[in-house]
Amino acid sequence: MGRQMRVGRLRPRWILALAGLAAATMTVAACGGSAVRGGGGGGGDQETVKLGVLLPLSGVYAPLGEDMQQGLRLYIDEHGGKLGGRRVELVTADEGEGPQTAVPAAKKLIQQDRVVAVTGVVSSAVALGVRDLFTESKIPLVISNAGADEITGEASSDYLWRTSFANTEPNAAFGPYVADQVKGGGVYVIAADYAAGKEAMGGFKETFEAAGGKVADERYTPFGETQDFQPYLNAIQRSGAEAVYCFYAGAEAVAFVKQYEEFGLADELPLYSAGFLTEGGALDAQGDAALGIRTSLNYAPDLDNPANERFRAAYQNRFEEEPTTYAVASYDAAAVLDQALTSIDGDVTGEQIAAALGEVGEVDSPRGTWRFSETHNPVQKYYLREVRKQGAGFTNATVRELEG
Amino acid sequence: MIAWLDANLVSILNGVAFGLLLFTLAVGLSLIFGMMDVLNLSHGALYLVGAYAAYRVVGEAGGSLGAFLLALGVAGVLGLAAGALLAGITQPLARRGHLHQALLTLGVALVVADLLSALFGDEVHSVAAPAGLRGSVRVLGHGYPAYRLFVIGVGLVLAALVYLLVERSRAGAVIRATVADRDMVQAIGVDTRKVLVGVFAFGTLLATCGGVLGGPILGAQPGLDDTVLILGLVIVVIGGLGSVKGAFFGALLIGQIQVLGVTLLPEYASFLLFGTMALILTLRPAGLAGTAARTAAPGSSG
Amino acid sequence: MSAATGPLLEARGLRSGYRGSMVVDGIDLDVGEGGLVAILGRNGVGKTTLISTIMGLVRPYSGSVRLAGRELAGARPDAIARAGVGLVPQGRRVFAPLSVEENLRIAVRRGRAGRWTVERVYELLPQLAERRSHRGDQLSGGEQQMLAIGRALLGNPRLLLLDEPSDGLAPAAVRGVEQVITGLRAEGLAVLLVEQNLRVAFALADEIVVMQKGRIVHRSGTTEFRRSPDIARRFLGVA
Ligand SMILES: Nc1ncnc2c1ncn2[C@@H]1O[C@H](COP(=O)(O)OP(=O)(O)OP(=O)(O)O)[C@@H](O)[C@H]1O
Ligand SMILES: [Mg+2]
Repeated sequence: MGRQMRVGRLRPRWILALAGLAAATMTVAACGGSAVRGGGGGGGDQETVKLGVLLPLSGVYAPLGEDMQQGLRLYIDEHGGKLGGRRVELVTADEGEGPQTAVPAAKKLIQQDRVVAVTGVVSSAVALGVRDLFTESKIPLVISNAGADEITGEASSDYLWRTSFANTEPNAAFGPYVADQVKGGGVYVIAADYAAGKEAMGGFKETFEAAGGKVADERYTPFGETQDFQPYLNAIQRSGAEAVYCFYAGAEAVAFVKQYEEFGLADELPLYSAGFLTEGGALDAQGDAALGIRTSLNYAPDLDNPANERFRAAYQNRFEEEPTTYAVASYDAAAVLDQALTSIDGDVTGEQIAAALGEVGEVDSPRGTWRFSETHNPVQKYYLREVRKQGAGFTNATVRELEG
Repeated sequence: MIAWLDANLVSILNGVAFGLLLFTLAVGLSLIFGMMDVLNLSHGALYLVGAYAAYRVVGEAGGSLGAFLLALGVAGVLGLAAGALLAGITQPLARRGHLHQALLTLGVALVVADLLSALFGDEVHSVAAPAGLRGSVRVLGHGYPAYRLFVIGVGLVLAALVYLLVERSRAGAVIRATVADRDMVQAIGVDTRKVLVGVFAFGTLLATCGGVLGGPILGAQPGLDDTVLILGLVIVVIGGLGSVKGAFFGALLIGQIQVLGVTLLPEYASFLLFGTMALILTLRPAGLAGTAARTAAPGSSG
Repeated sequence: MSAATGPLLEARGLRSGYRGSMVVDGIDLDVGEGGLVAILGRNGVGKTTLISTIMGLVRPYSGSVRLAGRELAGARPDAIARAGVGLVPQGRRVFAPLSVEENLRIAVRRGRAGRWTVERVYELLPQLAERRSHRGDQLSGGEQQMLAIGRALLGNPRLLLLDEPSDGLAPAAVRGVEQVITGLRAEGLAVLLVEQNLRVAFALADEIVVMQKGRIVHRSGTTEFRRSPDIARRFLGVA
């Protein structure tokens, strides 16, 4: 999972639903309007495919959903509104905050709108909740965020693909580096108490301890209810640890990083984390407090490769902000679907797309080239990034590649 | 003992800061419920209005003390207006009882929260502490954020002012008399509608200004409204309805429990808050400062 | 307007009650400038409801209430109080959680200087001065009655409504109340008094009005009333 925030709180549905509808209409109008005309015009040679987009338009994950929509839209528009030579009609449905909203939305996409494939999905619970639906309907789901290891592990399916990451990976990639930095000193491990937090810490500890690192202590904070981290920060200060490794995202990431600085830990103990800690809107909110934090992620806006140079310029130009790993993952989801559709002749079915996804080779992505593993997860590089000042704002600057 | 105090000093101090911040929120909730008999469930949303006002005026990167005061002013005006409006729309429902009024304020809360989401997005925003209060200071050899010390100071002054206003001033006497016998207050020539609007507006003013004050600590984000509302309600229940003293000690207690409790008993972090409430309700059903008669009165009219 | 010549209080065809019930059923009543009219009647005949209707605490169904020619029927109680009507209610209803001092202070109408100030009330009612800082509910019945009177005076009323001021008081306290009322009349205050204690009513009133089932069934001058004991027997069940 990327930026997980508080779930389960009371939220009004009606206004959100209206906003969602409005957003969906706008997306369809912007991206699919001409495609509808092309398909319905009866021109004959102009083929149209319907692609489902399942993203949070409302609720706590909405900011993530927005980055992901932007990445997707950018790719499709860069390719003249076509994927694999066919006009694309996007049908957007609201993932909401969990399976209650997302499962009916996915059913509608498949059964009513008759899409040939779906992309999106922020929440791991949603990805696992719709797994059987997609597998049985033989419609591929190209997941562009949800990170539970299971999705491309025990629960993997011919119809589930992922262009983002598995939760353990960025953390496992970081273990040896952190072990090397602290040189035998203890590292305090702290994370939000939920599945993604546990997976992240598991991934980190495994490679960290294998590289000779010592865990000073380990603590899980109540997920989504912790506003004040001071008690935990106090415990960290008293533990004698020499560095801290954490896993937080969204609201908790902002609070944790700000308080880490306010209570004077930033000057004493280096803070390490998977890159979600300082990604996107969280970094803006953390501001100065995030300066110097080192993180591990599969993308940084300043990566030096031609694909990223083009992508970043186009993204900044159009959306007036730095791209994020979330935007890249959905940009790449469009890219792999593009490749898959290109290899199909004539009528398109979900089954054909799933088979064709298996044949997709190297993907030339802004994050560097990657390919699908046996279980449909990206085999990719992770980078060491550091928060630095950039103009009036802040950025995650690449320091170097992390050795797998 | 000394060693224990030294080790937990920062936590204790922090519990005080957090508690005093919650006091600004809870005291308005308590006055409006205890005195005017309206359970204002939009109180959390109004806190959030204040937090977003701070975000908009002060910003994330940092602003001057002037900007911070301006944010307080803006939030204050919004709070007063919202309170007057809420008093106006809940009053016609007074005869129908608590539930109707509470539901109406819940509706207002939902609409306000959604408007804020529409205006500011669903991102998490933080608010910079005003210039001069950033960074940390040494307190008995421990680093502590200067802004939180400021919150402690402001909170104590505010508590004293609210106490003097309600318990010692003429306006406070009118309010307490109105609670005791509304008709009789009218019969001595006081327009009690104005008292109602005044108390409501004062309570919501404290909520929005609390949002500005809390901005640099808790930030501004969707969902914060529910969190602070629940904490406020717990404090009102613990402290006793309509009691300034109760809200004060209840808030300090909840502050310590949220901070020190979590430090000492981390495994029970999620349980401590409601566990304390249940315990206090068992031992003192009317709350810390409440008398049975006082809490019985509002309940009987609904 | 005939304000200068007519009575101070002029109620005509006044009807009121609770949720449709007819408790006050067509009352015509005058109280002259500086006059004292006593209303007698058994329990539950609607005396307090009449007082409350004049004060605006109970809304009239119909009829008019004029004070010095100005229509008050339908106005809010606070407006009626500001127009010059003071209420000393049945049961006294002092503000229990407030101190004596606070009870009086909140009754002072700001921005309008008048004859009565808190200090003058303390002069008139010295037993209150000794108890300034006591809570309303810590006072004796007599002291509470004095407090209720003092509180009403601070609005500088032209007409004082007194609802059973002697009820439940010790004889000494009753005499104290009588003295205070006599003193106030001497200052020209008009009073509408509800009283079950005939001795008190006779001692204070110029005119006696008897109510039964929401209507006035008898009215006469006090001396005349005292001379016809059968009226008292008929309507009040007393000798
Ligand atoms: N608030 C109320 N709601 C409904 N009915 C009422 C109310 N107050 C009084 N009543 C009814 O109106 C009638 C007249 O009551 P009211 O108090 O005016 O009588 P009263 O003459 O003042 O009696 P008492 O001598 O006992 O004070 C009674 O039947 C009483 O039950
Ligand atoms: Mg009566």
